[in-house]
Formats: sequence, structure tokens, C-alpha cells
Amino acid sequence: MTRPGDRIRRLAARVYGAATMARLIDPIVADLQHEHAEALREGRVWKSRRVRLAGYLALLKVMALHGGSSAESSASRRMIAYAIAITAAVTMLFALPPLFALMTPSTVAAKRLWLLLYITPQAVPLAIPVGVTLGMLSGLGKAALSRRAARVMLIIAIVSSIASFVMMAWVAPATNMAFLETLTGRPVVKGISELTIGELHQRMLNAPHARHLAMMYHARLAFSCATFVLGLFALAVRHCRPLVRVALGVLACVLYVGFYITFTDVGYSDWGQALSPIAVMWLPNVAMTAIAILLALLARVQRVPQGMNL
Amino acid sequence: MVDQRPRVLTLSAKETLILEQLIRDGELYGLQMVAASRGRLKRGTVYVTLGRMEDKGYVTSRQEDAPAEAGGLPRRLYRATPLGRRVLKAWTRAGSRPLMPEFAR
Repeated sequence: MTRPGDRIRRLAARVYGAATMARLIDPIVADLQHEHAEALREGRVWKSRRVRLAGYLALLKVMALHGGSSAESSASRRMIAYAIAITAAVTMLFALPPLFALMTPSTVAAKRLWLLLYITPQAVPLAIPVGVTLGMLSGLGKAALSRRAARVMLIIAIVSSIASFVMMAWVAPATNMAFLETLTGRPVVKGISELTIGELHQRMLNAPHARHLAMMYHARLAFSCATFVLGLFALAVRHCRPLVRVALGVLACVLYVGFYITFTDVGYSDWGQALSPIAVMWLPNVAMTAIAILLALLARVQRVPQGMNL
Repeated sequence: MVDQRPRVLTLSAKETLILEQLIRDGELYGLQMVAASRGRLKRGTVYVTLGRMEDKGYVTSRQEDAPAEAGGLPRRLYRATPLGRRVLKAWTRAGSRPLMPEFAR
């Protein structure tokens, strides 16, 4: 029988040395298994689930932040802190201009606060890829060449992509609706941006010729992968000098996010009718992945013993 | 080259809390310390702090004797070392100022 934590422990054993396993990972797994077994013995199913979740979160936290050398651990912490700070700043950058444009001087302060709260989730999925990519590239420091730093970057990118998907699929449509109703002060009919991913898919099936629906649907799916794809790019350029890699990261983010901002409405245009929604919306992911693979191969070929090439 | 400078002894707030618990209760599991700390210690980071304290020589650990009832991994028990006890005493006396090693002797 597999006990909780066994699989993640086996996975961790491939990554971390015996000392880290004995001092950090194994005690947490032991606590998790002990607490879980105790909860089951008492017949407390919900407690056992809560214990399992808390144990897994503790394991992930320790593995991400403390599993390696002190330089790697501080690099991981720095990457996460920078990613959060940049994401917050970019979120405000995307959220505030439309908010100020829509508000009138007579809008009361309490209403402004609600409007800000409702418009923020719309900006977060755009900000996450930028914040995470630049946060990783600027926070890497001297750990740029370590394999563990690369693994941490990949984990951050995957988790962020999942968070982006949840925001775009369900959270942002709901808050968009709330934003419109708060702004107008009356019930409004759902527009395309207020549809959840399921509702959008259903409308797309009901109206196969409405290309703007397909564009929006694939835009949401494809843009959910933004952090993962840009994370691959960040991995490929992590060997470059700090300034060069941050500059490359900025360029990649501007091109990638700019493409979606520009092309999301292409389904409404006449010439957009000729394009395949899947091809247009997944193009940046394919292109960025290809560039990342190419750069990684180039870096591998050119790498000198001390690294820091390109 | 080996650093010959004397190591300055310090205790973070979490290390102080852990040492106080261990001196009061003897031998404890990590999770017991988390439970007794009323939120000041987290299950994700208590072992990081304990590992650092083992490196400094403030605590020592061993695996529990009997395997867990459900056949899980054996848990780890922690105990304060004589150095840990002396450092906590000197640290409290010095008003949380960094200590030179001789203060803990």
C-alpha cells in the first residue's frame, strides 16, 4: 500500500542528496504519514485530507525553497519574491489605466475600491507571465548555472500557468461581470469576456461560424501556457550575463503579450475570417518553444567551462 | 583556506523558541514543537530551522525507536545540547546581543 508522501519522497530522492533527505524531507513525510494514520484511526476523514494537503504543501515549500545549497535556496527565494513584486506592479499597470478611463469624478470612493477589486483579476493573467519570467531571470543571481535552479524555474512556471488558466477560465469572467454591474449599477447581459471557459466552448459549438468565439476560446487556452512557454525561454537564456538575460526576457514578454493584445480581436475583422483560430492563437507558443529549444542547443554547443556565453 | 575567526553565536526568534521548548519538555518531535508554538513555527520550515541548529550544535536528533504503527517512516526526535542550553541562557542574559563563543562556555 502506498502511504501519503511516498511518491513525492521517491521523486525528491532523485533530486536531493541523502543529507537533505534525512534532515528535511523525511521528517516532513514521517509527520504526514503519522498524522494521517492517526486521523484515519480516529475515523476523521476530513482531518486526514487536511493533514495530507498541509503535508504536501509543507513538502513543496521545503523542496522549492530550502532543498539545495544556501546560494540556490536564496536564489529560489529571490526569484519568487521578484516574480511576486513584478507581477503586482504589472497587474497595476494593466488594471489602472482602463479603470481611470471608465471612472467619472463623481464615482464614490467605496465604488472605486470595488471596481479596482473586480478589474484586477482581468489583469493578473497578463501580468503573471511577465512577472514570473522577469522575476526568474533577474532573481537567479549566481545560481544561474545550477540544475536545481532550473528545476525550480520550471516548477514555478508550471504552477503559474495553472494559476493563469484558473484565472482566465473562471475567475476573470465572474469578476468582469461584477465589474460591469457595479459600473453601470444595473444587471447586464454577459458579453464574450464574461463567459467562463465552459460557456464559451458551448457557444462556440452552437455557432461554428462565429470565429471571434473560437479566437477567444483558443486565446484563453493558449495564453494559459504563456508562463510555461516563457519559462522555457528563461531557462534557455539563463546562462547569459544578468543584463543580457533580463533584456532578452523583456523582449520576449513584449513580443508574446503584445501579440495576444493585438490579435485577440482579429476574429472580428474581415481578414481574420480567413485564418484558423487554432493556428493564430497557438502560434506564439510554438514559436517561443522553438526559439527556446534553439537557444538551449546553441548554448550547449557554445558553452565554455565557466559558462556565461551567448 | 579555513576561516580562523571565532564564530559569533546568535539565536533567531525561532531558534530561541525551539530551545525554550526543548529545555522545558526534553525530547520533542518537530510537529509537537509546531503545535506548541501557536503558529510561530510552521511545519514547512521547522525542519529547516532544526537542521541549521544541528549545524550550530544547539540541538541533536535521533530517529524514534519503534516504527510508526501504520508502518510509516520513523519520526525524528530532537533534544537540546549542553551548548544549546548555555547559549540560550547567555543569550537571554545578554539581551539578545550576538555572543562570542566564550560566553557560552
